[in-house]
Amino acid sequence: MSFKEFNEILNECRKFAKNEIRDQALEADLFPDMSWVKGIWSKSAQLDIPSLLIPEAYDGAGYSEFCCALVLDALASECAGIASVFAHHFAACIPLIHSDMNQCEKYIRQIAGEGGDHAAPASVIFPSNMEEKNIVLAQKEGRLILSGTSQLTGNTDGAGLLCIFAEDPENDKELTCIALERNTRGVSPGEDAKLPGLKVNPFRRITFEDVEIDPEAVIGEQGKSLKLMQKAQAAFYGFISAMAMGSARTAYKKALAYAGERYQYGKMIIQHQEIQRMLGSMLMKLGMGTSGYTHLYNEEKLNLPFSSADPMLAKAFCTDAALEIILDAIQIHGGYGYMHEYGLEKIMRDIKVLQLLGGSNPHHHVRIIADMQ
Amino acid sequence: MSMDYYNLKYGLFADAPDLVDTLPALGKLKKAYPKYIKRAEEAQCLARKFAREELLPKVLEIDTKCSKDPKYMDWELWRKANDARFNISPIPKKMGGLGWSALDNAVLVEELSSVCIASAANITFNTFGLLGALVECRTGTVLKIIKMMVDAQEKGKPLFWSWAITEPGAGTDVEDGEAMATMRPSSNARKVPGGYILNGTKCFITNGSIADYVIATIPLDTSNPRESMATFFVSTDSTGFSVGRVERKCGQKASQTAELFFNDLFVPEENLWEPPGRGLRHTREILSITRGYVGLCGSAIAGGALQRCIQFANRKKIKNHRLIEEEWVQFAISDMLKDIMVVRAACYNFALAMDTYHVWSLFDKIPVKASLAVFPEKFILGESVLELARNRMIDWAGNKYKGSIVTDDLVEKFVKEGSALKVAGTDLAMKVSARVLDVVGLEGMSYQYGIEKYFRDAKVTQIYEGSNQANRIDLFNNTIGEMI
Repeated sequence: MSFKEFNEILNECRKFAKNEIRDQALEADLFPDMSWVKGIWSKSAQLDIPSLLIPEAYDGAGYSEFCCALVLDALASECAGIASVFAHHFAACIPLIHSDMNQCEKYIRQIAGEGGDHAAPASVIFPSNMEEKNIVLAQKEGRLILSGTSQLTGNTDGAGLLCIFAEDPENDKELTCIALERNTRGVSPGEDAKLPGLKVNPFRRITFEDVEIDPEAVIGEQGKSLKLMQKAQAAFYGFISAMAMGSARTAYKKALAYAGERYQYGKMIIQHQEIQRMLGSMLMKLGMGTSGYTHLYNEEKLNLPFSSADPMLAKAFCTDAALEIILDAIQIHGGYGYMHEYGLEKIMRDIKVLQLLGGSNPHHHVRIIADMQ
Repeated sequence: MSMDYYNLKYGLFADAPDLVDTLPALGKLKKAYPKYIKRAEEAQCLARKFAREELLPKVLEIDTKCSKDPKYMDWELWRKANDARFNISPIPKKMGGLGWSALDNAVLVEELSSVCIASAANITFNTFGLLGALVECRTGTVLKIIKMMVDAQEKGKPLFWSWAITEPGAGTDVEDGEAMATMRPSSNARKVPGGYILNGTKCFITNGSIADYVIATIPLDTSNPRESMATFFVSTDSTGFSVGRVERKCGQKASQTAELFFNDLFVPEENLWEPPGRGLRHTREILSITRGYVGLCGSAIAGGALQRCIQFANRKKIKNHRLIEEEWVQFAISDMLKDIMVVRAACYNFALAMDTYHVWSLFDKIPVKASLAVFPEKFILGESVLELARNRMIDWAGNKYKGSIVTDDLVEKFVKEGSALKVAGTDLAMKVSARVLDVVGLEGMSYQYGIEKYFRDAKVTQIYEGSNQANRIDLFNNTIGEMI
């Protein structure tokens, strides 16, 4: 796909986000309302956003992960909470489209929303290496039984389909990917964790009480889905990076505009070198973060060591940078930045949650090297 | 979380007093002035007990209620603090207060802020009235304010003071001389027979919505704000006073932040606390005291956040070990401990200097000591003494005497010290409260653990009491600026 085409999609999404999300995002942050999220989801179907990744042969839009990331960037620039609903959904689509299509045709069509009803979003449950136990898939008397409790997972309230990576009880390296209807018996959501940000997307633990799994619901080969999980996780990290940059972009724009309005010490604050330094530093992080995450999708690799980014590290860089950007953006706004109605403090809370999604950044730094050994 | 959850005897859960243990330099003072340090240790025992038993169990409940209704105030908690006399702690014992030194008050501020800075503000910022009066130190005014505070405490009646400086178009500008000269004030005062008429708007005023009295800095000539800035003592039941909205904030929700309107509000001559041109000096003197304490609040936020993080990491199981056993976690904790230890020690150093040189040193001076010793307990705030204090000569003498101790140079010296600590403490609060969340992860960030609240609370400390940028300018100007 050409850049021109990407830019057109991006423009459409920006327009959509501005028209449908901007005005209500702050109210929804205070009083999260599932029906508002559902409404946006339905409207987004007119732009084919829910089925962005689904191949055209299955009535989807057939676009790339890169396109999803750009869409998320645009949505997050108005509300990272809404964007995160889509990000979970896209990540859940990855295993389906990277598996034998015929095998999971049922689920792909479900997501594409065949039959007129705009299917509910999907969500994805990854195992975590920061939990005591993960979800396991055991073979009992010839039946497949899923049990255990997930880590805190987003977009489970509205999700119709859950894409679950379960461990083998004997060997945690053997993963199986399972597609499961969210309202299956034995699947019960826990309490809303009430995270400080992404308020419209409540995070919960999901408990599976000896849920019997239909062998046809196994995506890919049983016990051999480590690669599939890594693909989905890598995609998810890219999406988080995009959302962080989208949110931070708004923070920067607001700070730049405000600095040109407010007077302090007898001049506009943008004329103070310290404010210029802060804005310049924000711009640097925004630029590097954006090129870093978009570079993830660049298929032509340069023959230069370290020239291609790792998705997990891109996420760590982008979210850390985004937090620094929003903290400075609030600082430039002074007291107003701390008040809800100016929308900046919401961005700060949202970014902090994005920063911890999929694991914390210092832990990523440790893992990337530990995994090399 | 139930109290059993916190199974490490550390920080708030360690046995008090551990003041000298954690600040070993105080050991030398303990030898030289055993009473002074002993009292601070007693203050720590009381404050920690209150923080742990009264404050901690209610913090999230209050935060939730204030999220729904920014005007919510937990009066039960306030009454308990009032019963403990924490809200009049610096007033001499003989007058009905606790007679706490700057050091004792630092201990109180630290213990409470390490649990919830907003509730700490409701309790301890009540000394603003007293500080405001002490700046001018007209004996009559000081004794009148003390009497009001002590009477209210005895009756269990809330008595709140606000300090109204910030305006919609000017925050930091109202706290600095050069900036004030260029500001565009939205409020103004006009001289009329017998007093002044105030008009204008103040914003982001802590406790503004529940205040009984407001100390407001307002210029008489808006085109010459620095030369005409005055300080007024305003009763909030005056005609022309009204409260606008109470802000919805990111954090520190238990502490109300309000917009105040003055509409042709009449202030009698006697309630002009600082005459035109002296308003800036008044503000600077208050800042010379409060900035160091805000630095300590910041260090306490960092300390509190880290304590919760440590408790969580100690409990949290991952695979076959606990989170706290991970080496990267230990390094992160250690790094944060190091920063907090350094900043905290510096803040306590400030409190000691406050006792030695600033207004608190008045209590060690012979005239004040002698007066407190001579008069019997009930008599000291009796009507006849108040009458005596209203005597112009004594008023004048009090003012002059205090002025000889708290000089302009001393004020700027403490602004310098305070500014450095304010930046160090509050930047640390932000850094640590964000970093502990990286350690505890998504689960530790759940509302129920109360760790994310520190992150929400911390940000505004970098903004209020002069933005950290303004504090840096103050620090430079008071250190290097004059030499270049």
